[in-house]
Amino acid sequence: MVGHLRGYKDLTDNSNLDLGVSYSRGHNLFGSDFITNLYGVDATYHWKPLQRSIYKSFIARSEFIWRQQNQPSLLICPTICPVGAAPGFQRAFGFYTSGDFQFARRWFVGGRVDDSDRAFNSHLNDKGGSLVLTYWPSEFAQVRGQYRFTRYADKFDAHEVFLQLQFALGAHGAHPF
Amino acid sequence: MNLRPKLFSFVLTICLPAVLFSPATTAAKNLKVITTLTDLASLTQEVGGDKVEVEALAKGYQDPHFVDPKPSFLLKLRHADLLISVGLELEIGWLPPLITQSGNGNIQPAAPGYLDASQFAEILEIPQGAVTRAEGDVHPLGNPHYWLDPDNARRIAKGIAAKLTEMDSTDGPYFQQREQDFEKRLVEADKKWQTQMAPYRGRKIVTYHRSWPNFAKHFGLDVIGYIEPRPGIPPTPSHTIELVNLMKRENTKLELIEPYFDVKTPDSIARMTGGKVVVMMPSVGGKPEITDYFKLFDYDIGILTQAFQQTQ
Repeated sequence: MVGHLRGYKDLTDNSNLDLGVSYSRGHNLFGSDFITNLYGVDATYHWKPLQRSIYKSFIARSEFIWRQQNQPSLLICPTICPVGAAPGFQRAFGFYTSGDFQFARRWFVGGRVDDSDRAFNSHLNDKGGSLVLTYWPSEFAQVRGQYRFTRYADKFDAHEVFLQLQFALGAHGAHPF
Repeated sequence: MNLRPKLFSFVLTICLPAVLFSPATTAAKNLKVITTLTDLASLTQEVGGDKVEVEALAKGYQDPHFVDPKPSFLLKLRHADLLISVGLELEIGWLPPLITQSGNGNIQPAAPGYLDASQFAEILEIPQGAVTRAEGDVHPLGNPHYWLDPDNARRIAKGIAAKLTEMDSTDGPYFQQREQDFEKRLVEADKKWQTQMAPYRGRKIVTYHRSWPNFAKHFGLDVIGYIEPRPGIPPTPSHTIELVNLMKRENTKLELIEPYFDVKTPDSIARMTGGKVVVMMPSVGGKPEITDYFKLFDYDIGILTQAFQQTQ
C-alpha cells in the first residue's frame, strides 16, 4: 500500500512551496510475517523571479523518512538475514537536503547533504555531502560535474568525482511542474 | 406536538446556504475566461465587459515561452468556461500539461471552451520547407507574436466576440456592441499611432528576439537583424561582432529588447555602434501603468519615437 498527499501554495508570484507526506506499507523480503512501514515528509521550495526566469532560479528540497522494519529474531536471523542485517525490529531514519541555484542562463551550482541509518541495521549510519556544477549547452544537453564525500558507518570515507553528460534526441512533451 | 418550529428550522437549513452561496440568484452567471497571455485577457475584457471574469496565467513582464505550469494554475483552469491561447506553439512548453491535468473537459483542445486566437490573425514568418532544431527554437507554424499588430487585435476581438456569443447567446448583442465599440476606438487610436510613427517609416532596427515582425510591418519598420544568433540561443561573440558590423553598414542605431532579456550584450552593441537600447513592452502589464491594449501601444510608441528622435 502506498499513499502520498501533496499540498502546494504560491508564496509570492516568484516563489512557491510544495509539502508532502507519504506512507507505504508492505511485506519485506523476509516473508509474509514481516512488515515494513515507511513514513515520509517532504518539502520543495521554488524561487524564480518572473522577469528574470531564464537567468536566475533556486530550488531547495528536503525529505525525511522513518522506516520501521520487522526482521527475524536473534535466533533465526543468523541463518536467513543478509550480511550486515541486525535481528529484531529496526527503526531507521534518514534525510536529505539539497539546493540548486541558477546563476546564469546556462549555469547551475548546487549542494546536497545526506544522512541515513541503514534499513536492515539501524545502528549503522552513513552520512555524505555533494557539490554539483551543471552546464546546459542547450535545452537538449546537460554536462554535470559532481564531487561526493560519504562517511560510511563501516568507518571508511569515500571521495568520488563524477562527470555526467545527458542529451535528448527528438521532441518530447512539456514537463508537468 | 407542534411541528411548525421544527419544519421552519428544516426549511431554513436547506434554503439558507443556497441563498448565502448564490448572491446573484436572479443574474446570469458570468463566463469565467482564462487566457494564457495578458494581451488576450485585455481583448477579452474589452469585448466581454462585465459579463466575463477574465484572468491571464502569464504576467506581462514574463517571457511567454517559459512559464512554469504551477499547480495554482490548475485550479483556475479547472473552473474555466473558456480558455484562450495564442497558439502556434508559443505555449507548447507549459500549457499542455496544465490543460490535461485540469480535469476540465470543456477546455481541452477542440472542445467548445477552447479558443486558439491564432486562427483569426495574419501570421508572418511561416517557415517554408523542413524545420529542424538546428535553426533554434523556431515556431514551425509561424511567428506567434501576432498580437502586436492592431489589425490583428481587431480580428481577434471579432473572434472572441463570436465565441462569447456562441457560449452565451443571451448576451450576444452586448458582446457584439462592445466589439464594435472597441474596433471604433482602436481605429482612432491606430490613426494617432500611425501619425506618431510616420516620420520613422522605413527606419532600420535590430531586435533581440523575433517578437516584433507584426509590429514592424504595421508601422513600416525594417528589422535587419537579431541579437540572438538563432531563436532561443543567447548571443555569441562572433554573432555579436557580425551584428555590430551590419548595424554600422546600415546606419542602424536602435536595438529593441524585451524586459525579460539581459541587457549586457545589447548595451555593448550600443556602445560599439553609437546606438541605443530600447526596452519595449511586448505585453499588457509589462509595466504597472500598461493596464490595457491601448496603453501598451501608447507606451511602446512613446519610447520608440523618443529613441528615434535621440538617434537621428
